[in-house]
Amino acid sequence: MIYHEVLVVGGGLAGLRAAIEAHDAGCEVAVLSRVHPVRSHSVAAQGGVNAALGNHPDASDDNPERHAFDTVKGSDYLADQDAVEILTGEAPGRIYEMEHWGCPFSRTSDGKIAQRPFGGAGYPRCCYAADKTGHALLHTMFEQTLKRGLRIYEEWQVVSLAVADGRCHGVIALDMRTGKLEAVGAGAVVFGTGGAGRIYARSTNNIINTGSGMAIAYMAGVPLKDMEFIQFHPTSLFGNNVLMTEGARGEGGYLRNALGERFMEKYAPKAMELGPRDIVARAIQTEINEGRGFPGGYVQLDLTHLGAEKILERLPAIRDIAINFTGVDPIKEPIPIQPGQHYFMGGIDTDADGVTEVAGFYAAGECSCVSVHGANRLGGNSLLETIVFGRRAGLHASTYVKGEGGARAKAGSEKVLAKVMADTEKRVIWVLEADGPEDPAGLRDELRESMFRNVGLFREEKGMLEGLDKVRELRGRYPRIGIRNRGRRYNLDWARNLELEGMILVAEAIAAGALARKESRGSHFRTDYKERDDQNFLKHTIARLTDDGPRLEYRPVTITRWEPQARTY
Amino acid sequence: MNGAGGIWGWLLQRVAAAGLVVVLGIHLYVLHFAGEHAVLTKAGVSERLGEVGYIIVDVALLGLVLYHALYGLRSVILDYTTRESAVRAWTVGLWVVGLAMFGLGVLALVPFING
Amino acid sequence: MSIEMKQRPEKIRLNVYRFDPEVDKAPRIDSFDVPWVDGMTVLDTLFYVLEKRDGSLAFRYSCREGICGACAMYINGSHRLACETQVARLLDEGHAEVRVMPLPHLPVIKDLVVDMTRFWENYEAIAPWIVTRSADPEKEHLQSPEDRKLVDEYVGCILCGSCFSSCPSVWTGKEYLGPNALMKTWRWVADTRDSAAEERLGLVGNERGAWRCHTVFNCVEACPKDINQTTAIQGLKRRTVGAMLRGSKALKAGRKALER
Repeated sequence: MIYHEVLVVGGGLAGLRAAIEAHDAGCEVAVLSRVHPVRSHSVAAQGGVNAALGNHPDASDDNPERHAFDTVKGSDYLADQDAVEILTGEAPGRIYEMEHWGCPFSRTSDGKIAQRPFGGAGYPRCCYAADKTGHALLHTMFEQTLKRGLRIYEEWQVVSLAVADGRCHGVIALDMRTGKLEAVGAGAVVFGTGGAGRIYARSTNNIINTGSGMAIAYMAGVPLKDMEFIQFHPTSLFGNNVLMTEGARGEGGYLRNALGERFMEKYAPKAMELGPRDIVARAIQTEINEGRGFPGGYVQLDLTHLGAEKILERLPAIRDIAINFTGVDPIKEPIPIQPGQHYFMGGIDTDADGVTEVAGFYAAGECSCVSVHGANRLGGNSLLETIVFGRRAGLHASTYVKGEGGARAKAGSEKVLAKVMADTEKRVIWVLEADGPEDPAGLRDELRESMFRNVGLFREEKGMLEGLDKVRELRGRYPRIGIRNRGRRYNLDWARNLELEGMILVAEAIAAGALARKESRGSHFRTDYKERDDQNFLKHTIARLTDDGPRLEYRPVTITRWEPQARTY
Repeated sequence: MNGAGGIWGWLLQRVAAAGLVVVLGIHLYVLHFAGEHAVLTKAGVSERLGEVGYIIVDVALLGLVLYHALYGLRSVILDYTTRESAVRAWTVGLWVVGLAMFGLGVLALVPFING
Repeated sequence: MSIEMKQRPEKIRLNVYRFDPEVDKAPRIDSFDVPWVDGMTVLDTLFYVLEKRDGSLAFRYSCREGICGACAMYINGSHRLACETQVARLLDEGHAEVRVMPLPHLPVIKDLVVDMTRFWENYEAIAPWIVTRSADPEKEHLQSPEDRKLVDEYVGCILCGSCFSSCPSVWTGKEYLGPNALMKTWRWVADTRDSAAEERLGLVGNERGAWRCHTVFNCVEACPKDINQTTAIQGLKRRTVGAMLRGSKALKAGRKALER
């Protein structure tokens, strides 16, 4: 049996950062990833990463405390403030560290890391590498894993988590190239498996973002937190919903409706285009819904006044994307955009060290919920979250492994893995042999459309009930799916439909959480409860999987210094 | 293969190329444009090779062409293997061939010079 | 660059390379008719086949926006990213059908999925991480925007393998580092924050490295991110010669000096 002291699942920023930290703390570490690490979704992040460095002339008095306040206000006061202070307090150190590791940040004229304004932020504190910041960070992080010679299992897809008596002993994974199930024992397992954007239609996410990590943890008894909070990015390309960075507005881009109006003055008169994402996304959708959009349902992101030089220097990637997919050159014409699903504020319930309810099981990055984003994440805080909490999870995991926890996990792992393997094999082989009448691709499309329509930007009870019914119907139909390919090697039909069950379960947790939260807060906006209700809902939703679907519990929000106030921009 | 292997060879090929441009230019000019020797005759060639400058040009041309071409050939061969023993064998072999041909070429000039 | 709006066919013929080395004696081409959808990319057509026609088709994908590098393939005779290549563009180029092959000259694992082991090993062999000799500053290293520009082109690489697959010296020379690893070496040599430039030159200024580049420019043609690898490699040659003429000791140290 394969055994590693610390096993990291996911080769994106959070996973690699955790792996590096655990290695540097003296542990033997391996990374297991469904794609080669540089193909992970972190690579697609564009605009930047926040840290109060004060490098911008307008930000000389910025500090982590101001960053924390902006984050808390952006979260609509649902973020745990102690965790937010860790996030913003450690931010400068982590950014300097990435720079010391060679990350090619863009530069100010005096040679410092360049920073740009971003939505919901009081100061320009978003560090960037043109509009390819995620790419720059992920490639740098990958270089550091190569430097340390970490073992990487490439194109291995985890299918279950081995948990017994509240302790994690490893995972069962499918090696795509051989089609074999492998038991991988571990002293500690860290999930950095990313979001579940592909549960939604119109997602900006990589195709691989199916939330499989969340689902696997959820099925193994680990609760999910705040799943109803789904971020819709204001500006995704009309047509295929590829992200058009918030940095485009940070650099001075305008949003215009079909009447040519800069409509944000109605919704956020002070912040205008740089309001937080939930508010800007709803503003755009309102314009479209009320007939002031363009035919087909979009508005325009206008960069033409920025000039060719600025666009070529700071936004070259989105220009290429716009030209490539829509034939629009942003230097000459406005870009057609619409809101698209972008990010999961919720995820596997963890604390600020990535610790979950299960000993030896950790999570960091988008798959986790600490919570630092609360009900709405600020742009530039997700890349930050990966490097801050990835490191902390890796550190805690290494301490755990070196203590008696690791020894206990190792002692029990063979037996536990054998049992979990037997159960997993049944399920996995069942999918490989499934020959029912239901087309799984159709199920997936129905799920995505229903979630976007019923549990999307604007929510109300009737729609959410429909959404929940739909999820339950799909859950009932899943056992009757049929797949077309019975070969084992690199069988995408098999691998993709194995995780469909998890997508449905996660969707159910989202819909149930949303339905129960009878208020509007951040990204969770209900037309039937338009106001925030701190009396009843200033609390985190915790969803546990039972045979009858999710069972919801609540947990208070940690408030240290900022009492909830009205949220205006 | 560590260290500075191949740098001199590569640099010399570039230098040889530059040198070739010069001596090849002289060679072509003398042969085709200088006019006096429209028809090649032994006497004419002998007369030209009476001058030390022309001897230098011709010997240089021979040496540079051989180095440049054989280094190029070595490059093509090395595309198929960079095993150190093979590289050494080919390099030595090509040097032997090159030096032999250079010697032969210089010998061929002797009758004209003594003309 | 823009795609013209014009009358399109109702369906398009997709010809795909199929080969499972553990089952098939020889590769074959399978053809599928894919219903036309405006804006459809080659990656979309592959998903159509996977989901509606033949679940055994294997290919790599991830970001579908040209930044992750997973879906580099050989499409209608050129190296391209399947996700960035609109079928309409292929038609506008004069192709009547879509033809998708795996990256040439790499071992096939299954269908369009190739074994990139050698590519990754070569990348790792050039020590593609920053090396600094002095302690890190308290804040960031300072680097002027002009100095940052020196690496801009090269840090845009998405490690898709197109250049590597297109290079004749890679096809024949099994030990050749290839255009990607060399370009990435230049990325660090050119980075003002790195202090191991001459050791790096020593690592690649040899018969396995820069001297194997015959300036064929296939890599430049193949690169979906418009990186000029050949210029970078010429830079390596120039700098290596300069270091040698100055009698650099670091040049000789090469790989040893870059040990982890």
